[in-house]
Amino acid sequence: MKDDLRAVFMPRFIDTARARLERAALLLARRDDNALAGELHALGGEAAMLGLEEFADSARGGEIGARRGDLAACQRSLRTLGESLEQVVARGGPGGAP
Amino acid sequence: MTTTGRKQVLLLDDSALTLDMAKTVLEAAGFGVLTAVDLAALEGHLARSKPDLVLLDVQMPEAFGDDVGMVLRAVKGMQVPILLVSSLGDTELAQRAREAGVDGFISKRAGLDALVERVCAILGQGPRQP
Repeated sequence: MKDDLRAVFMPRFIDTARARLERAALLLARRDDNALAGELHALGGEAAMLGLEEFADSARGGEIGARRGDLAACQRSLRTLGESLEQVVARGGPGGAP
Repeated sequence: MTTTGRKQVLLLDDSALTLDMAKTVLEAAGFGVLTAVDLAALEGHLARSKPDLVLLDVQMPEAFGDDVGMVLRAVKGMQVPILLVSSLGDTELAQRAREAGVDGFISKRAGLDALVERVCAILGQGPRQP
């Protein structure tokens, strides 16, 4: 993907991802596993299309944990995703400086 | 086909961000793009236009894209290519596409460039040069 397209969509991805992670944390607290899995699936798809493969894999891991009702896996996934998102922000997206 | 002669792609996905990203890259490649964020929007587009290709997200809150594809193909008799688009694994996607009787899948894991390449290949159109 061209860097200019990344530049256009990365800020929106970051905003969307933050909102999805906030919703995911609430859904985890409520133990709404199906809705949590859906939220993480959507997040993973958006990340994948932007070339954020590790982020997408983490979201996929959380989604699988949610579908299995694995609370610990979901907690680990949300923590990892939060940290990964802040790394994406810090380097200005996948095309930014490491 | 649009009134301007461009091949038209209809894309269903519950993520507005995904729709906007896909629409941007496909329009840049020279296609007309209709986007639907839910089934009502999809039905509205199909009532008003005849897309050349339909792309369906698989996991949505109100439906599975493979079920939607099955209805479009088997019930409504849609003959244009219908593909599933998802970040699910390729094996599961291939199975879902086969069981739904649609024409294949595009993995979101392959990214936006692969989406454009695949649509170009299916609709017999090279990507427009910048």
